[in-house]
Amino acid sequence: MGIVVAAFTIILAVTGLILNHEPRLNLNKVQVTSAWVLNWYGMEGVNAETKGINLNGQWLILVEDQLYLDLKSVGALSAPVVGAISLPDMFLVADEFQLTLLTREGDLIERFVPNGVTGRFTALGNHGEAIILQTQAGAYQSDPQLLHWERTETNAGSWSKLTPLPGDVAANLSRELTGGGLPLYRIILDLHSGRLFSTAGRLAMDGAALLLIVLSITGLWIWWPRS
Amino acid sequence: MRILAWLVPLWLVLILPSHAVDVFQEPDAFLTEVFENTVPDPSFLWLKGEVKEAARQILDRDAGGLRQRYWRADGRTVWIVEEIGKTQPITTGISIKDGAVERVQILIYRESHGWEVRYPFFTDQFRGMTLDADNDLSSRVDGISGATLSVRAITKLVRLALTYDAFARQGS
Repeated sequence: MGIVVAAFTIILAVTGLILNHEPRLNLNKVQVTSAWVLNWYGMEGVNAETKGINLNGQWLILVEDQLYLDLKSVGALSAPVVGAISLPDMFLVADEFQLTLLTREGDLIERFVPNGVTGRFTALGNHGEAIILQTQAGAYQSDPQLLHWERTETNAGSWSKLTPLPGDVAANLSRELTGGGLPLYRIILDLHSGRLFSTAGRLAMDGAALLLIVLSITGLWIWWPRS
Repeated sequence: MRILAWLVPLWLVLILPSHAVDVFQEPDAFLTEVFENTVPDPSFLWLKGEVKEAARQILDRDAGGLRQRYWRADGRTVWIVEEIGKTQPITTGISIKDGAVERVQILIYRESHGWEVRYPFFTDQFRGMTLDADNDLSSRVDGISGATLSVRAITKLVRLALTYDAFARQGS
């Protein structure tokens, strides 16, 4: 019990000392950008597995269940994205169940299920001017207004594909998502209070504090000279 | 040990997140059924001004998007709309005839709980409902124990579809 309390006491004392001298150490200005620390705080940025679709120079990017157009969040996803293409003045995105129209600025125009199309969507692409949506039931071709969809035997000349992001695109979005990192002061404060390890950490620090009190009182009790 | 063989899988089922997607009816099949095989071209309701504000009042959030697609023929409008139950959107088809609910059908359900809202004992109670003067439903909706959030989401969607229908008919 003594060793456990000693370990917690050292953490408390060392972090307490550092926090006491925070203004001189400028801990608030030191930003921690380590990926595992940011992940621990749930501030996930872009990693090597993050993929996107290149839409004529703009990138539609999937991070967890969020969709981004370059640096702008365009909403949460309720199903995996299977493709996206560029149309005049807007973008068309397909997930497994529906299509989403976005302006070039990333504003949502509408989400919709195309008339006459059945089966889960599996790919989206172009064949010349035509838009081709592949589903489990077959391929469908749309008019340019996206009002009429008909079965087609035509295969898209090019299917849109999710690919790894270029380095600069990934770095820019990562910076946007993680806000430049976490102040070191915040991490040391959370270590001091136990909040770094969520509720369990706080409870452990509370337990250590209670044990310290018990040890101090029982130590005094043993030491106190009795007649 | 034998009891562990039962308890461990039960515990795993309880703690593991479940996000299975259930397609109860494909949206296109719903449209085909409602319009008896002659689905009209879609129309658009632009979500701006008082339409946008009315939707916000119902959903307690911005409806999202610049326009809402719907289908219209023979005094009937059909809306395929979504609202989040607890964490995932519930895609719902709502058919409205002459300003009153004709049919409510849960199309795609993504939540792990509350799927009881798909059953006719729940969806049928909306039939014939209209909007009252306060833009509330004309009758009370009976809830389902354990599916409170899904019931709330579907109720909102029916109010939304009736409101959209009113604006669509005004605009015609």
